[in-house]
Amino acid sequence: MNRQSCMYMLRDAREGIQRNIGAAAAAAVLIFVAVLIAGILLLGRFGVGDLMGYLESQVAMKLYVDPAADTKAIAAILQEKSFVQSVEIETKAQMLERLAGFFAGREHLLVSFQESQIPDAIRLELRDKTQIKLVAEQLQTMNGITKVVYPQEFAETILRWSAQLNKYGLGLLLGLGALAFGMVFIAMNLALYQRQQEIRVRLLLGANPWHVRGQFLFEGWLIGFVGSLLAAVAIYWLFSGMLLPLQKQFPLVFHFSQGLVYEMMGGMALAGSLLGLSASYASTRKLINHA
Amino acid sequence: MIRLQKLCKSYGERVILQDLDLHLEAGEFAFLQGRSGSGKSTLLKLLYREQTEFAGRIDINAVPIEQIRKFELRRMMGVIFQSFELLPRKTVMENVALAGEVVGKRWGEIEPEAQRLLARVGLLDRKDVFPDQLSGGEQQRVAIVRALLNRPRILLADEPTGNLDSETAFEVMQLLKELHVEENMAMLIVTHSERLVEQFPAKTWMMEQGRVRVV
Repeated sequence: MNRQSCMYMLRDAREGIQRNIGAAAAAAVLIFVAVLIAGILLLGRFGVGDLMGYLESQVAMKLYVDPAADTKAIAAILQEKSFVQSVEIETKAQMLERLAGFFAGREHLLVSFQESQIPDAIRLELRDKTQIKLVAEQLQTMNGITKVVYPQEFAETILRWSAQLNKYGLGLLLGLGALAFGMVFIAMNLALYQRQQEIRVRLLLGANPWHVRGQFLFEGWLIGFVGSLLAAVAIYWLFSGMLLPLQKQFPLVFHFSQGLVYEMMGGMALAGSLLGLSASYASTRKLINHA
Repeated sequence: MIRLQKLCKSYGERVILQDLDLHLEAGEFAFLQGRSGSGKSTLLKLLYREQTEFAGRIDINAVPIEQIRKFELRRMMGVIFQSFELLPRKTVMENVALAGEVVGKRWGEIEPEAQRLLARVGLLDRKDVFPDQLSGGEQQRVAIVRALLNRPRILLADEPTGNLDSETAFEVMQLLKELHVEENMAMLIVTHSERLVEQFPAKTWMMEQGRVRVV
């Protein structure tokens, strides 16, 4: 195919999409939604991965002490243990002081904490992070300790939620992907139907059937590319508007890579393009068979 | 140029063409005459390979037709239809130019040739109008120009005057005869009109019940 043929094909594809703008736009929107969901799931995975890594790297845990027990005595016992690096007592007053900073401007929310029976807590730092779950289970049975809270516990919960989200997200993604494929397929079939006289005339005038098909493949690709490009832009907007500020706020937790996001955007554009192209390829099979 | 030997074509039990032997030389003008349903259009469709299944042999320039790729064969031929087959959303010029575009010609090559041929058939001043703004005769002249744009060596015309009144039909036939001489190409005109054949004496094959005889 020479440059001139490509120019004619581009022009005809543009005219073709304009004639069939409703179906083409609907197909592009579906591809946009499907690819956007894929992007959000991927971004979520990166975020969850960072969060998990951070939580699992923590060696600290918090023990809530029975109000009837002697907090200082328990802290002294714990300090003697070989696996303990440091022990720090946090009283209700200290905790409220810390929370005051968190609730700045929303002091009315702090009132409920002030009025509640908050027990003393002991912040424990271990020497070895791999022992944290085992130690937590043992301390849970110790007299005077009502509750043990440790980061790995949250990590497990987050991992469970994340697995559920990925499962349903993947299902949704596959459903929307199939819907988008079907929509491009229908849009292309509609275009083929609308232009059947033109196709016949072109073929009778000596057009190479692959050139004629190429025009429709190009249209399918364009629909997929536009939809997925918009989704990639939306993902970048989400990344720069939400995740980068989050990273600035919690630099030790999140480490989003700009390069990785660019690669992801490229991948999204490629996936959408392939979706449009493959649907168009499937819908024009008959054209090539009967050319 | 075109040679048919023992050509047979049938749809199931129904025989359309039976043991046809024809030979159209380069630069020759011929009519293929016959009543509706006699197999004329089927023969033409076999020649430009809109239909591909047949028994016997069709040679184009001494090459079996099935050995020539469909689009390459069609680039050797111009085809004109009774229904003109102009694209309604394209102007006269765009319709004509389409023939050049599909074979990858540059606009710089297409435009002067299209203008020359449109001027030749008296439609240059109407190059920017759409087909529905033209009369039947004018539409057929546009279709002829489109078929001739790539200077094919063979022109096949399937009832080119079938949708035209007798006066316009005469004019279009006159034009085809003149272009045959000017462009030096083989022309095979399919028609059911005896009158037309009488008005333009030329080699004529008569098709009857799938068989052909020279008149």
